[in-house]
Amino acid sequence: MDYIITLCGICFIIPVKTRYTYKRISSFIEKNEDINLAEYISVDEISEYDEELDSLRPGVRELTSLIIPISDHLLKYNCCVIHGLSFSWRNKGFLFCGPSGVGKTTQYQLWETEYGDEIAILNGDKPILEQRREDQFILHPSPWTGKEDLYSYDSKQLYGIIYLEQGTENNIVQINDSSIVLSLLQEIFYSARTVNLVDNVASIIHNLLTSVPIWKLTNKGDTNSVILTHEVLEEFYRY
Amino acid sequence: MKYLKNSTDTNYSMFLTNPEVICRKIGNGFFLLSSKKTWDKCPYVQQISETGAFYWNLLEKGIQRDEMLDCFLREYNIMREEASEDLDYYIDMLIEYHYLTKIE
Repeated sequence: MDYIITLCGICFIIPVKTRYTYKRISSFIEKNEDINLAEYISVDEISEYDEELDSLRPGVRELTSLIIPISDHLLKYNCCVIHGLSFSWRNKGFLFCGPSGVGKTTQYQLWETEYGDEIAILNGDKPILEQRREDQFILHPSPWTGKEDLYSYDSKQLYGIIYLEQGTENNIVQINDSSIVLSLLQEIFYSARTVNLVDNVASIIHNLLTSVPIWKLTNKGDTNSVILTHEVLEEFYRY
Repeated sequence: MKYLKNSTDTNYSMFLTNPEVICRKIGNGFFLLSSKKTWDKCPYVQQISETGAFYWNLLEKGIQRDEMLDCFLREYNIMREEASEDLDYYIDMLIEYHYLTKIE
């Protein structure tokens, strides 16, 4: 059955077969039936990715296979699905980025322990990033909330990205230069099947680098790494 | 179709930039980025120098090799011979990674 969902203000018509996917998208289903414009995600677009995910359970597989087609369509509106854990700290949006298994959720859980009254989850795995202006990015909710199912339905302006890397020491440096480009390219979901899509992603990353502070946190996954990051953010935002 | 004089040849050669590749400034760096259609031939992403980006933009406009060199020398204070060698080395690299095709 086809459903109309709204993600960061953009309507999509998506085919849904499993209960699992329905449950995950149910909060995004558009109640207003009078929709003039919607992006149509075809079965063909999804099937290309569905075939690559045959090791997953059918529901997870179906939901996951929607990510790249939806992100491709989102790019027309300067939005995309990004791999990371988004959270708000003192009402400002932040993103933990990095490859799977690097410790994004662990880092968030440590923050919860140390500074629980200062933070709130936005999305645990793949939020939607909207470039509203050249220098303004917004983090939006999405149906892809990760294994721990961490989510809220709040949107927040992005104030910083913390790119995680495992290490034997804790160290944090601001890194708004070209050395982080390849890493960020790997965190944005899209098919790259046309140069226009590649161009859109390049533009988003360029604007991120020039307007949003990005830190690389090499860390041991311990409390000290959280205290260090907290100190840096406090100093940067001068609380 | 881009026409260039390749200084390593005595004859004029024709070069074609890969239409599935774009050159973009991202942050403080310059990159050649290719679409999936051409990943079997050239890398998805390749960082290049500012000079490399300067030349790529001229290549896309179909500027001939010697004119590219002249444009570069007007912008940068460098010996012609050295710049000429660098340009030929760069063109060879672009051909090797299928960013540029030499038409015989």
